[in-house]
Formats: sequence, C-alpha cells, structure tokens
Amino acid sequence: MQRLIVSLLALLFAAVFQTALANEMGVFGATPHFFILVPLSLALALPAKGVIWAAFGAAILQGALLGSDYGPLVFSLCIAAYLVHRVLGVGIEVGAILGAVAVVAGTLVALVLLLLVNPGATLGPTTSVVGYLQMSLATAVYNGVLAVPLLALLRRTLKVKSAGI
Amino acid sequence: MDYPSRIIGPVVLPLSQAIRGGLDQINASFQGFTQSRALVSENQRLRAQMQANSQYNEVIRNLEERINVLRRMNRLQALEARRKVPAEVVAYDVRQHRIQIIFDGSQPVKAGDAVINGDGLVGRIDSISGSRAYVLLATSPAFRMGAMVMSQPPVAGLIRGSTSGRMTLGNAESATHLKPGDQVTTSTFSETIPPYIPIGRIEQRLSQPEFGIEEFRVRLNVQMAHVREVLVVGQ
Repeated sequence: MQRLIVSLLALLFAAVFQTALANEMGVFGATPHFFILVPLSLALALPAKGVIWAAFGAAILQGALLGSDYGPLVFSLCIAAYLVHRVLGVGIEVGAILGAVAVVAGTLVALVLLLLVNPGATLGPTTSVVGYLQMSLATAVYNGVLAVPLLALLRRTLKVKSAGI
Repeated sequence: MDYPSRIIGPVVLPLSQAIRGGLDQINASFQGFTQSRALVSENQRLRAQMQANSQYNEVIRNLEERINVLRRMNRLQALEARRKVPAEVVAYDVRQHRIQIIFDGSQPVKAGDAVINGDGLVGRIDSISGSRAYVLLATSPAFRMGAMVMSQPPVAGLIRGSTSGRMTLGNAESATHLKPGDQVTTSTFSETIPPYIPIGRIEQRLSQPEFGIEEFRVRLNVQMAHVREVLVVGQ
C-alpha cells in the first residue's frame, strides 16, 4: 500500500514539475524530463509489475497533459523502465551512482525508442537525428543528476517500511 | 481533447499554476527589493508609452473604418476585425513543441488561430476543449505556414519549424536580395492566420541560389521559454 501511495505521489510530482518547472530548469539548453525520470527511479524500487504500471501512468499523464500521442509514449517508457528494472533488478539497494547511471541509460533508451516509433513528432525536415540525440543525451545527464536526490528520497521512504516488515 | 486529458488536466494544472505563480512571486519580490529605483522609472516610462499607444490605436481604428468605407464604395467586402482572446500558458513540453493554454471560454477560439505575444508569433491552436487549448509551437517540425519577408520587393515563402528558437523559410522565389536581419511576418494569403504578425528575422542563407533552392534560417522573435501570457488571434 505504501508503495502504491509513494508511486502515485511521485507521478503527481512528475506531472506538476514537468508542466510548471521543467522549462524553467533549462541549463545550457538541456531540460529535465520528469515523466521519464520518475518511472525510471521507481523501476529501482518496485517489483516488475509495479514498474510497468508506473511507466504506463507516466505515459498517460504526459499524453493527457501535453497532448502527445499515447501509443509511442507508453511503448518507449514501459520498455525503458522494464529494462532498467530487469538489468539492475536488485531493488532499492542500488547505490546513488549506479542508480544515476541507470537513469541516464534508461532516459536515452526511452528517447531513442520514441524517435524510432514516432519520428514524425520528433524529427522534421531540418531537425537532424544527431541534433535529437545530442538533446537526448543532455536530458539524460540532467535526469541522472536529478535521480540522485530522488532515489535517496525513495530509498528513505520505502526502506522504513521494508525494515518494519 | 480526449477523455484522460479532461480528467487529469483539472487535477494537475491548478497545482502547477500555483507553484509557478509562487515562484514568480518570489522572483518578483526579490527583483522589487533589489531594483526598486529602476522599476519605478520603468513603470513611469511604460505609462507614458501606454498613453501614446492608446492614441495610436485610436488613429488605427479610424483608418480601418475609413478603409472599410472606401472598400464598400468600391463594392469590396469590408475587412473583418481580428478576434483577440487573452490566454495563460499552463503547461509546456519543449520536446513535443506544444503548450497548453487556458482562456475565457465565453470568447470564441478556433483550431488554426494564431497565438502571439508581444514579441510575435508563438504558434497555432491545435485542438480545443472548453476553455483549454493545445498550441503547436512555431518551433515544431510539424508547423508549416505561409510567410513573407518585408523587403523591397517583398518575398513570399513557406516557413516551418526546425530547431529550438529557429525556423526555416523555404520555397522563396526571387529571394536573392534577402539578407540577414530582414523581418519575416505571416503572409497575407492565409484564411485563418492574420497577416503581418512578426515571426522573426533572417539569420542565415542555407542554400546557394545557383541550385535553384532558396532556404533561410530564421531566428524567432519569441523566446518560448519565457512565454506566459498570450493572445489568440483569428480572422
């Protein structure tokens, strides 16, 4: 139950921060992507089923709030979050550095998958693949940095409960 | 607007508006504290400009009426007044090149209407639900519209979004005389977008005229990151 509440709050945090602050937080052209950051961070804290639901929820939130196509978002986020969970698969005990690296890799995977399944919305006649990948890398690094405090917070919140169990 | 948007939007957007409003308040308070003298003089200057502007608007109204009288005398259709609906930006996605705006639902807004701010064109209304609408930003690769360059002679072309803060003007014929700094505006040929809305300025020629393809990179007037309040303008 605690995991469900924490996941819902984390998704609400992603939605509010993405719509209110993501653009204001731009550094050297890089902006964070909270709708990817949160499910990837939750992927290190939840069981596989929960990870998929969290990624699905984040994709629906993004599509609903920003008018994007749901299909490509659901596909790319679910695959990226599941991969992160599957590769690490050691739950919340992942350290801060490894967690951040996982979020960087997961963000890149999600954005590249989004490019592959929905190139029309991400690339135009004069927007190059290289340019998109550079922007994705910058976003991934930014997400990795933000993942450190977020993972610490998740670890703190969820570990109390697990210790109790 | 789809079903999830109608449910999720009213839950999340008031929260994000409150957070953004709070941050703006803190920022404004800090600015007021540190730059009070400059703000007072700027306020006085803006009031004077506003007064001058109101007289200018009166002159424009009179001239428009006169044009319409002359057009009617020549049995031409009178020019329609532009609809202007103020709106506030409530959500922004830099990757999808979209914003969501909220406006007074009692005023008509149509898909395809132009969205502008004080600097120029921001984008175009994509879809509407009640008093909320999605706007496709001018920087989107999916954004295309007629444009013209205010040069002598004027040049018409097709402008499209390319990268953040830039657009590409193509299909421009007889454009050898265009140079960096020339003003690009919306064209007079669109049925939905009003003409002469500033879009940006030519920054660089992208192709050689000997190949028969003229393309120009255009730097947008509007800095999308700072867009908060907009006007929806329709014919």
